[in-house]
Amino acid sequence: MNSIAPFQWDVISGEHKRPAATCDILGLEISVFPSNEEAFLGLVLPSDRDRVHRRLATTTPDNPTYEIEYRICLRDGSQRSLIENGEVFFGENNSAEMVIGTISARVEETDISLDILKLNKIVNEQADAVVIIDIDGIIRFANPAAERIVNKKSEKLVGSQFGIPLTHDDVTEVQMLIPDKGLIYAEMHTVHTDWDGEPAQLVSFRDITERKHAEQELLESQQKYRSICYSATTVAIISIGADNNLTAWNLGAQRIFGYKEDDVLGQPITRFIPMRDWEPHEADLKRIAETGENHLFGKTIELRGQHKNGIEIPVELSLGVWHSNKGPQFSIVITDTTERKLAMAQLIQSSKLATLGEMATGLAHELNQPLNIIRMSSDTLTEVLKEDDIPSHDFLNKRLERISSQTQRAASIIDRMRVFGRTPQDHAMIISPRDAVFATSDMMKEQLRLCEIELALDVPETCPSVKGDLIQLEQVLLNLLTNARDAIEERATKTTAGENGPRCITITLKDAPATKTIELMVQDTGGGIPQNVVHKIFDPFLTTKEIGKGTGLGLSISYGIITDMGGTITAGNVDEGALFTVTLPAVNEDQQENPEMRLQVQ
Amino acid sequence: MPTNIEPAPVEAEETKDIFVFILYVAGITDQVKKMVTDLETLLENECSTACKVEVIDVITMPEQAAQNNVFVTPTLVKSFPEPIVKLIGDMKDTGRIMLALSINGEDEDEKNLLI
Repeated sequence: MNSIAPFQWDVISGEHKRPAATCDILGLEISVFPSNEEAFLGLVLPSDRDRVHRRLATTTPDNPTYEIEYRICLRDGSQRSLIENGEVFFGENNSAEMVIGTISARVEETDISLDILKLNKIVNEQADAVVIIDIDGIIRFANPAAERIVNKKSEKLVGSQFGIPLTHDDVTEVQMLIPDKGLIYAEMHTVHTDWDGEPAQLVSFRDITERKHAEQELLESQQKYRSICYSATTVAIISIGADNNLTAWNLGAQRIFGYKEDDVLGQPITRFIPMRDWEPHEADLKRIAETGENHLFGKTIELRGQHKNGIEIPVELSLGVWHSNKGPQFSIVITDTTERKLAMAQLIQSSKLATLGEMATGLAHELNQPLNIIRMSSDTLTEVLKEDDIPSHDFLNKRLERISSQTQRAASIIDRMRVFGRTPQDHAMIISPRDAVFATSDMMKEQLRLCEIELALDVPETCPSVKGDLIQLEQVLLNLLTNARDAIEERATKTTAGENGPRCITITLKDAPATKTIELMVQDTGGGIPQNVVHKIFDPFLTTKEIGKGTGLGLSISYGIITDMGGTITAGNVDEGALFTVTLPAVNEDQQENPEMRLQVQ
Repeated sequence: MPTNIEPAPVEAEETKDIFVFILYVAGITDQVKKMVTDLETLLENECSTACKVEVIDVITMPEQAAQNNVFVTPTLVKSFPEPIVKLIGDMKDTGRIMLALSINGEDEDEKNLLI
């Protein structure tokens, strides 16, 4: 390792020459030295540059030697202190023409330089771009990452005007246009430092483009979903935290409940539930929050909501859960079912009236009988009274009693129809399926007798109750009985006399404690449902009856009623006819004890 | 000039009594528009001399930025009168902007305030 490197400098052309044998001095590669004066000056630290440039100014033909100490800045950002000794050769007009001299490294600084080299290594291997600027905003140092970012060599960067960061010991987000990379986002950190004993700023840039893009995407997706959720006006989309307080409220919720977003955020959800439903709701949420398991997920739950004006609204909701660091959060989608309920109720009502209409012929028959008896009795009385003989007291009494009893019978027929025609209650009640069977059988018995159809009942002495509306359950049974009657009648018209099979309808009521349900079966001997419609028998407007005889709504509405009651209705064929099976959840003893339910029953 | 925000190149006669600023930005976003408005308001309120702010989008005119050694956006350059001052950052610290712009000499103490 040499400690001195010779050189020759042609002052007029600016050319520097170094012997090829000279490879380095104290680890400094001489090959990094440019071969002309101008480029060489670029290597010199800017603060020393002017002095080096004028290093020949002090020399004269009488005093041709000089010694100068300066620092150079290497490509890796490290600095070395050098001592240059030279002898100047002057031309005819006393102008310097040639310099021959040596460059040596300052030996005493070597130890420090090694430390600096270590530091340089750290700075150079930094992924962050680092520049050091002086108080004029001039770059005094740039690390390789900075070179890469601006696509310029350190020699070109050092000395150029960078600018003054407006931040001070702080972080700012900036953008940088990178030649072959496009626009990147960077965090600019500035730290106070010293450079060559003068105050300076160390400015570092960290590429945060990926993070920025991820943030941007997240923000966009958040905005997108928020916009989708918020602008939905037909459904309420809300979310609540584990504390039951609202964290989101959309336009649909505003429409359904009447409150604006600003009025409700942070409020407990119980504000939108009628007071009497608080307890079960809170118990549910508490259990979900504690155990994490939820039987309600993925299901549609029907309950009551409360509008700002105090009116109760029937709603359907579905519940989702997600977890944040604040605990479980619930997202709730709510639909106002008022209109649907109303439409359904109207449909049920009109179908009921249609059933009544269909029953009119039978009714006329049924009413005719007592009326005939009344007329006959009164005719007899009139005839008897025309005669001179005064009829016996017993005779008169018998006729009058008959008139009275038959009037009673006609009145009860009319009464039954009137009860059937009324609008059902809004809320489900605890009802006995036995009552429904007996009431329907009472209503149809006479008509079926007139059609010569036998009605058999298989009803146990006791049977669990179900939840629903008695009239509606009667309506379902009535629909099934009417269908059974029509099927038997139609079958009869298609077969020749004498070959007529049995004309019988059976209603069976069964308790199925294993599944906590009750089963109601209506079986007829009407030949069964045609195979091509059996799978769509519950579709609205489907009828297998003659034109003008059925509305095609009976079974569809029955299906709706049974589904509303939480049960199922299925159709199939057995032996000589159709079998409809209604399964309804049985009300357990606890629920029967519920005072509120009792009240409703009353 | 490459902006729909602040057009009109400065005419020669006017240049005596006017400060010319160039704001280098990356894309004309809503944020940038606000920055320009804020900057114009600031200069109008704090500067006794008339000020022009030109906006150069480095995405559409990268060569402009390269020529003037603008590596980072946003960068605000006071291009007239001398000395040229180059400020880097989000332009939110109005105090530092005005401090940096008020420096027109070689007063080292003043410069040290910025470092």
